[in-house]
Amino acid sequence: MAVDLRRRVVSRRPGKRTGRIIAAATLGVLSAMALFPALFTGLDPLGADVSAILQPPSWAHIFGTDQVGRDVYSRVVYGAGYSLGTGVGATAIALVVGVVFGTLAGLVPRALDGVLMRGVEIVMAFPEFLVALFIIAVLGPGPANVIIAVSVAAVPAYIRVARAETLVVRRAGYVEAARGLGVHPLTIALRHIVPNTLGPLSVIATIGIGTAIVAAAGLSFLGLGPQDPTPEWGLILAGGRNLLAVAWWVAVFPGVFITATVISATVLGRSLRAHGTGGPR
Amino acid sequence: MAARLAARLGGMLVVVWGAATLAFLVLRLVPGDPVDIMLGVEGQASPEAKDAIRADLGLDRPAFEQYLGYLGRVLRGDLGRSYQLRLPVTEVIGQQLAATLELVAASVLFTLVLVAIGAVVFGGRRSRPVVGALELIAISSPPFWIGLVLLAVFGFGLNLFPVAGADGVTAVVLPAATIALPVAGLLGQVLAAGMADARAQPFALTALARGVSAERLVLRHTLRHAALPAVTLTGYIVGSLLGGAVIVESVFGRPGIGRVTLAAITHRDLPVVMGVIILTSVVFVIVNLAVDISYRLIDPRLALSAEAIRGVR
Amino acid sequence: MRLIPSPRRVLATLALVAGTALLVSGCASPQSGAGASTPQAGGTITFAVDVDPVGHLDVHSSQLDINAILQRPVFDSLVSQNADGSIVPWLAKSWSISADGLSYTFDLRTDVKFTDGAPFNAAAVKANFEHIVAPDTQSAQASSMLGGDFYAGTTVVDDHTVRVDFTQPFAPFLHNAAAVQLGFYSPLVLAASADKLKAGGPGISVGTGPFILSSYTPGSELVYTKNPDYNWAPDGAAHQGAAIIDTLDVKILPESAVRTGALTSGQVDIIGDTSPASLAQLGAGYTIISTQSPGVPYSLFLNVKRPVFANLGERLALAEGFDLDAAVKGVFQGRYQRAWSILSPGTPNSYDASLEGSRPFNSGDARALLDAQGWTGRDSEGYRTKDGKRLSARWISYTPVAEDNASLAALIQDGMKKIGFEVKHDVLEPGAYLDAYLAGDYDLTDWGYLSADADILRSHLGTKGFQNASHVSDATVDANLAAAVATTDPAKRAELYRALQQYNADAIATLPLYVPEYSLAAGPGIGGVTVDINGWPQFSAAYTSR
Repeated sequence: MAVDLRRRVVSRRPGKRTGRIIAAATLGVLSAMALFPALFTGLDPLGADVSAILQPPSWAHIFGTDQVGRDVYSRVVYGAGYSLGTGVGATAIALVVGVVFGTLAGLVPRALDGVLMRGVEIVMAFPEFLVALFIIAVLGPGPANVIIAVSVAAVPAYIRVARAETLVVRRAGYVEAARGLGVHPLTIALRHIVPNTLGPLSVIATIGIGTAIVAAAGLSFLGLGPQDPTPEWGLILAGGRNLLAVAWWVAVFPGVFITATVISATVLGRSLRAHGTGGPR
Repeated sequence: MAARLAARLGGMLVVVWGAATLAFLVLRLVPGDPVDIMLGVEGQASPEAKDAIRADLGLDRPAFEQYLGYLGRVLRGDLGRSYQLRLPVTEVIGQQLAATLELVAASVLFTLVLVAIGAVVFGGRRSRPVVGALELIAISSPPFWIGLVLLAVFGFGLNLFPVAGADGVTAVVLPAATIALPVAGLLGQVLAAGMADARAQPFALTALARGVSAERLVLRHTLRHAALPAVTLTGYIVGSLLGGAVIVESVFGRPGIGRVTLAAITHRDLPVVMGVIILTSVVFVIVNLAVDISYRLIDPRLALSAEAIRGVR
Repeated sequence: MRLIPSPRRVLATLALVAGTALLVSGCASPQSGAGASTPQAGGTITFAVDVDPVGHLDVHSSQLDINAILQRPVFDSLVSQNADGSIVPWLAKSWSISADGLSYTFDLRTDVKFTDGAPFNAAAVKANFEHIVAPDTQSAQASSMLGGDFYAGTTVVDDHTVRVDFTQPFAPFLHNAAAVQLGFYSPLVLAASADKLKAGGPGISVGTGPFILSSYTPGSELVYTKNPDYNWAPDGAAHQGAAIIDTLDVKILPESAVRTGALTSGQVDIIGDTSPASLAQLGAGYTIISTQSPGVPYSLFLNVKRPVFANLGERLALAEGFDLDAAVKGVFQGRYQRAWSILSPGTPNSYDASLEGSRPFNSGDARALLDAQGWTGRDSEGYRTKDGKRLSARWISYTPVAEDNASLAALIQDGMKKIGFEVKHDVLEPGAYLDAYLAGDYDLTDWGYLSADADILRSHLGTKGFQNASHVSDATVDANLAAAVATTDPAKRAELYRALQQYNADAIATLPLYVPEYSLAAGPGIGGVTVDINGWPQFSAAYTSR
């Protein structure tokens, strides 16, 4: 029944294919920017120029210049590395921690599972962004702490899904058979259970990268992340917020990039799910 | 039924107790001497004066004794005194609660209006892709960015709404819209995709994650799909508000709990941070209880499923 | 420490050396058509500022500028200081200084009462000064303004005569007595609620001033109502008697753009601490008052106890190595003056204008200096090295850094990078900053320190000065500082302070960057706002004409 429903969802939206291609292409370009920024711009993202402060977009500076004459385009390009790096990094940490604890929770005795899941529930009582803020309150501001804070906030969702999948898979015939054959529980977990949890988690993780980028940018925007002159999107945006009336370009372009990244991640994640890569069994 | 209620209340208490414990750990885990942090940059107290403050706060006693004393005070409604504002935390939060509640109410109203417009006016097949794209943009844009754009266009540009403060009804329009747009975007998508699509949403995954077996999920499918959007909405709005209030109140210069939270975090005003943690857990518990009760009143068969889905965002 | 928190603009056109300039908006806003020439009694003026002094409302212990600004309507002082530095009577009708300079006797007005009904008299002065020096008050600024170690005590001579004694002559006392930090709480408050002064609020922040603090919502709003009995404004003040407006409503709006938007949309009447970008947006019809802050300009403090800046060569290289003129001009859109001296031009009777232009940008000379100091190697990032160690300075700042200061920092880092000198800017939260500062674990730090008396140099350059971030320890400097504080002869003081400014210009213990200003912008229909020597607004003569 569940499979039928999914097919209907997919078939009902024929235009989705184009969206998927655009999303994948966008993410591809952004990843290339993150990895090889020098291919996209010859300008130094930190190169201040007193004589070119707050210049509007032109051929020399297609996104204009900021309050110390730095090229906004090159800052946004180099910012892709920081923002995507933070998003992917935080998501990867959350994914690994989530799989480890989720799988454990699905395999350990009920009482222990209960304790673990109550803990997860308590953390989930808080909005993700507030959790991240509280972590920053403990660790203090800074780029590394932002990654930790965002990943801690995201972890409970991954634990839940990993655990749910584990509970399903452990009852599957081949796992029962392996257990019957006396295969070591750790081997079963690593060979059979973990790979099965990765499917649905990859969907959440793809969408989660977008969520993590927004959360991290929000923390930077509030001044809790990296400091000037780091070309991080949230920070560039924060630097432009008081200039909106005189220099809209400083805040507008990083915002467009954040939104485009998140939309692409969301579209791609949804299409992964629609294709059944990660649908729950 | 009584046992069920008792278990439910117990569960609630566990969440609040867990949050309070977490809050206590926050204070313990923060590196540095709490007294130094409390005194701040202006503090030039002598070591003797610092010891006196430490004794006054009970920081010289064993950790577990401090913990018990702290729980006792929390039970009595005493959340301590703010380092920064030098006022009781309950007073600090109380002073700002009204402004945030106003924001909450307006955001909920806006969300409903936006969703209704999206569904009724633009619900046709032809405009659906356009609305869908707008919904996607609303969901994917960072809230501070939405706030700045609204501020620039409607506040500075068209001068339609006040740009700051919390005076009068008009001042709440832009901040509430900032919060309502992503919420409405998500809810619009949930509605448009219909109940069938609900099966493939992440929150269905999360329901699974709560330990509900696949068969039970399917069995209850027909019960669940009606409850899900509303529960999701409630949880999502509460989450967006408390998290989003920090950013929205900062962007629009509105007073409220969010501003207090941010100030407390940047100034390491830990008693206030602890107070906000406890407040958030209480809000979460109350909202969920309200949702549960309302469903039971509407349809007794939902008693089980509402609980199963509780906490889904 | 009273850090000057954010950028302040210069409006050169408004030659506001006369600090009591009137904001007559009717004249400044021909297009608005507001008939400001007919002031109305009553009404409300809203004033938007960036922060409130949460938890630091006690005028006797707070060191925040914003607290001084927001408490001035409530608290009066013994004397008042005009913008030219001259001192006029206020709550004291007259005063005399003993021949040895050790005793100040004040003859108090007899008609003054606190807004809670308590009379203002010699006993009230004594109670307040004793509160300032009491250890529980933890006062650093007010107690040092009261002479610090030189303060000997206050004596009630008769009901309306009070004498303040010092152990050695303390020349800045009269200037300091004009500041709100030496203002007067009602003795009833000091007796009953001394522990609540820092939290402040109605019934706690009670003085003799033209306004009464009637409500305070931290982080949001302060409301003042006029004191109808007020009839003791300073001698020669623009307005005598009770305030014209009924209510002064102060809004806390942290974002500079939001403050400007609130002004242009008519939501607030006056905005404070206005940035250059904001001033640039204001068209005709808005009145702007910008005043150069007296005291220590916004400066870099070079820690001479650390290897990087232990020798004059590297310090000179920093002073000449980047184009400060262009940076200040660019960041502040030409509105701010580049600083040349460790004292601002607005500091009364002390500024040494001969230092202007004395050390221009010269990267070639800076490079030669660094070569001479042995920084001849280069690492992979292009920075100079000596014995395999990179030439690098750690600059610590207290968060949050004002946006314009952050921009200036970026330009300094960029300029120094060009001559191979790495400047790492660490923006630290309060606790971490304090740790690093007290441990001396920094090469550079930054602030500006507002003060209406040049004696502020004692805390910045004196060996035992509590703000001697440069760790200067020089016997001649200490002797000059001690002589300057002890002499009441203005000419002699000015000469001593010139020598101190010259010392700093030669030794580069601090590198002054720019002269901050406090800028107010008022909307159409608002008039009568005056400013004090710091550029801070006074509202007793303010009026609306809508």
